[in-house]
Amino acid sequence: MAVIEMKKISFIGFIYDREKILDFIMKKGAVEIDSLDDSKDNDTSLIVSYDSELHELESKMTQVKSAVNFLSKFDKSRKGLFFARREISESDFSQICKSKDSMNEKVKGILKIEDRINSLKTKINRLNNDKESLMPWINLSLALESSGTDQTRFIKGNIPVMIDLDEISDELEMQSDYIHFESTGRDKDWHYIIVVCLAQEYRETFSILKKYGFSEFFNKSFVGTAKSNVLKIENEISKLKEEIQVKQKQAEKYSDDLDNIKAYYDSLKVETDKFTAMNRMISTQSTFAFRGWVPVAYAEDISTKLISQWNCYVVIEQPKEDEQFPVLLKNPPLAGSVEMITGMYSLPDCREADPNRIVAPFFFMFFGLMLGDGGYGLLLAAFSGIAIWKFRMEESTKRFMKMMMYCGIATIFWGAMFGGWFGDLIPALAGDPKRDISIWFNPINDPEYLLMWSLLFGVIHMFVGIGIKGYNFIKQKKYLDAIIDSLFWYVLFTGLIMVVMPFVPAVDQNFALDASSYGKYVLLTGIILIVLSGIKDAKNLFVGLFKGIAKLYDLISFLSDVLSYSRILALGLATSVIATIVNQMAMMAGFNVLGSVVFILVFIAGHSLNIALNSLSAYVHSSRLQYIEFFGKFYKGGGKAFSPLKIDTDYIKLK
Amino acid sequence: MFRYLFENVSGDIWAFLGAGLAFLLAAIGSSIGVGTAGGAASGVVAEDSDKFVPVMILEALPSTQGIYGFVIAFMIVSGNIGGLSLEQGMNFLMAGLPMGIIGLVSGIYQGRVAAAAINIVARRSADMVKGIILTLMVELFAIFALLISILMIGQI
Repeated sequence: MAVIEMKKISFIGFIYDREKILDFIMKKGAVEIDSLDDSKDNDTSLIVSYDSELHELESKMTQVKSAVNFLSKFDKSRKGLFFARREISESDFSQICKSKDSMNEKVKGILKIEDRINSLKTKINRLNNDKESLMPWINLSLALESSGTDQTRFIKGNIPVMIDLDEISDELEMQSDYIHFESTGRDKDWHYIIVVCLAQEYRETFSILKKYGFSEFFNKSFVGTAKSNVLKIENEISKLKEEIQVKQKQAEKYSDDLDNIKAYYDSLKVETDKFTAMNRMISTQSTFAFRGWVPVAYAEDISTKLISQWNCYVVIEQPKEDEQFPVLLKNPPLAGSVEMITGMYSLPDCREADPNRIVAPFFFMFFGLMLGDGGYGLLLAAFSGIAIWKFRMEESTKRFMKMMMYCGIATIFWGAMFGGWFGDLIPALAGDPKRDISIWFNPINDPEYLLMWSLLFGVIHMFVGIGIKGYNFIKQKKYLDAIIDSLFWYVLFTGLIMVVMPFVPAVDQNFALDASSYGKYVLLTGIILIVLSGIKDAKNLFVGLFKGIAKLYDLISFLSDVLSYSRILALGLATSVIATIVNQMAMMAGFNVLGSVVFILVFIAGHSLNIALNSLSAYVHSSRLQYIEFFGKFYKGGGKAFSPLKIDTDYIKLK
Repeated sequence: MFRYLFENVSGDIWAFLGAGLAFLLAAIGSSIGVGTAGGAASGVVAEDSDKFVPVMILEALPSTQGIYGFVIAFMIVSGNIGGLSLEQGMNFLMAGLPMGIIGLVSGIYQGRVAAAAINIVARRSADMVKGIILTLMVELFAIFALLISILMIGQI
């Protein structure tokens, strides 16, 4: 359907044209250059490696990137709500590409400032640590370096906080009469103490202290009292801080250049891509050649333009029957918006139908059913609609917003069907919470009915999946496979559904019993067909029959897949019940001034929380139903994304 | 004592017990689950704060059990309490149990899977969806429990 067909392109040209030809291809952005095929391009002497250039570019890019990150802190220009690349004209961009040297100078200057600021900051940290360590001794009038007088010794240090100080002072006093013991303070880990003792008793005193886990305060770099040292340190810190401010001012001056430096980064990136592409080519002294892929629609145009502008040789050919080509999808907006969801699972194989057009309606329908509240849908659709309309944003963000908008619209639809507008807000405000304003029915009153419908939607979803499998076979002209792998399964599963009909809630029992009595035969036919189908491709009859019987296990997995769709009911009910609770809590304060304030606050907080949680779970569960129940029926996947050589930038966008 | 309980207490108290258990157990499960996932999540964010959003989504997944328990508790209590017979009260208790018990167990285990999935994101952000799918596998049983509890309440 919408997997774009690719043509194979082979190219030989002269090396002195290479630069210009690559520029041309990049600007077109429609040719993917294939990596070298080891088996065919076996002459290694033709492969020229540009790894050293790439390496150099990479290290330059990291430098520029860190300069950009550093400068962004000082960038005060207004930014939009969403990230969008800056638009820049082609001539401006090539100007920047040419002014490499001055750009490099600037980057170096910026990195120097950053380095200086960082080293200043480490210095300040170290000084702060020193200051911290001095704080316990701030009131000590003795110089820090003094260790006593002729006759006395002076000891200062800290002891773990869990030690009882009285115990120490008792023991010290026992040991000597001439001793002074004092605590100067404590913090959460340590007691800080001072001891003055006789010089000849120093050893004994010290060993007693050691016993209690004492560690001495000792730092040769401090001279004078603690207070004077602290003052000195504070002085130094304020000086360093001043210097940081000066440096930051310098950096701010550079921030005018930020846009240009970002563009410079992108120019390096473009160059890197060019070298990576050249790494995939083979070349001789004067020629170079590559192979690649180009979408059918562009093939003619590109080859004629290449031939008319340069002396070269271009061959465009159809890919071989079994050759894998890169996958590029093209879909109308509705289907395109779910490409992201399918892409997160896997891209389709290049010869498989693109499932997005079928995923889209089911995805949105299930999302709507699971959120199931018109008011919430309205908010989602309005928010994303306004975002798309008013704000500049990147293409990928826009796609996501579009998906949200469609989700919101589907939710409005199902909310109207089930009568949920911010839970039971409308009937509750009208004073009659039990009134039913649904178009179809209210699932809170009749959950079993919605359960039946959920399972039915599931069966339809999976039958469509089986149908696509058949379609893929027909496309490849394998008609027998189409019959076996989809028609036979239809018979089998239809029989199964008819047989279990009486067990499904909310189904008319007479109808169900009738269905089940006929269903037995359908099921039996299905079983026979499937068992016999095992014979195809089997070595002998018994192996084939055994394979066929093993296939019947799918009956059980089909049943559990169908049950898995009951989450539609569960999640839908959870949303509406919580919304109802929020409304009840909001209205508790009654209808007066205070009541309306409470109402507004609770209403906004409660419903925002409910929207956030339940739209998240509706999103992930709706995706899951696609990935496991739906894709499991037919999807091969594993396609490689088409990644053409193009101008691929992070910060700027060429006009 | 049990004899006394059965003969002298109205059905209301059993219905309350059912609502209580449905919420209590499921919310315990979610708390443990979100706690487990949250520990792993904080570790990842500490390394790379750009991964906050994907990691937060994964951390939020095990919180659904608590929400389901809340829904069931609400459905039992709202409009039903007041002069229930013993049999009806017991029925409500039974209806609350699937959600409570399954919510407890699946919440805890979903939290573990979510924590492992967060570690996937720590290495490769691109594989976040795979992590979510793995985590949702555990959720299915909580959803079934919710469904069974709802259907049971509907039958009383």
